[in-house]
Amino acid sequence: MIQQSPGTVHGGQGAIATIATLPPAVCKVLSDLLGRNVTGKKVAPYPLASAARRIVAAFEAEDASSMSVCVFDLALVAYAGAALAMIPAGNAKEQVAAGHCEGVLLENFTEILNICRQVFQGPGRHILSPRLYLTKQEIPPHIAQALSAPKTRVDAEINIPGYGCGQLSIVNAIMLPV
Amino acid sequence: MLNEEDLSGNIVKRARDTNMRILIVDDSRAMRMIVRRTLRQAGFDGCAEVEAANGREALDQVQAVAPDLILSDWNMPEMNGLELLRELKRRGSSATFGFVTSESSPDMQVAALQEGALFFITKPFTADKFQSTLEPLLRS
Repeated sequence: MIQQSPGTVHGGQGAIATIATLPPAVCKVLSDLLGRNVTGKKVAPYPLASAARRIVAAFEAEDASSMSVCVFDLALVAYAGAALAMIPAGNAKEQVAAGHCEGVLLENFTEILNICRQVFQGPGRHILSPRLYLTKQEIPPHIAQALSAPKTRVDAEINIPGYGCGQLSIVNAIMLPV
Repeated sequence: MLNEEDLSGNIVKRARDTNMRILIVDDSRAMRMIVRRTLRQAGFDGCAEVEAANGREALDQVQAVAPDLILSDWNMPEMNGLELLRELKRRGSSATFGFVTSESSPDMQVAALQEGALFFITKPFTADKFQSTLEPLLRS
């Protein structure tokens, strides 16, 4: 199970929570959505700025008051995208082995991200549909900066039963009131 | 004497017997499939289901099949769910309309209900949620 992080984050409405609560919240959404007991465990951080074969999603508040950035490895993108439509795990593993994720799997993952934004939502904070960056070249400077020097960060390995494990990193998350 | 379970079964059976037509509107193919699957799990397995990928396609389907129930996403290209609802009301549609969406802000829920939506189901959803939301509508 994911352990509590010593770091705390001040929420926009004065509340305080730990960033480590976010991966379990993502697992809960994925479990409900995929109909599988999706679990996560905390793992050591890795250099985000140089990470290859990863997809970055920015969850920005409608009033631009906050932005959280999630980084997913290809495995997590492909496995979650496949699990949503019960596409055989083999199809997802083929894409991961080929070093890309596209088509229906990516389309499904985009829908999953759209639903996952509720994790960052709260009273008075409406989160827009996430912006997706599929390659390092697409990432705008302010997000690249957040990835190279995150103020807060949590890393987790997410297991989707029947498919496999993938990695999730969340940086600069603004926490909800608790 | 009927218990709650019997009552639910009868109501769902009634929906089946009356060949209820349900229009599922969502730009995600996977999500349309999941809504279909969840409807079946909730007992609406005998209903005729049709799909649309956005509000414009939904208007065509409404004209073609005259659905009894419309389950619509909010954010879609071409015409979003709220615009669809407004256009249906303008055209005098009597179909029962509700949102199945990842939008969950209270403001949007209020806006939806003010425009005439009868329910607001937030993704991710369960068969139980579908059943508890849709059954009262079938009773009335």
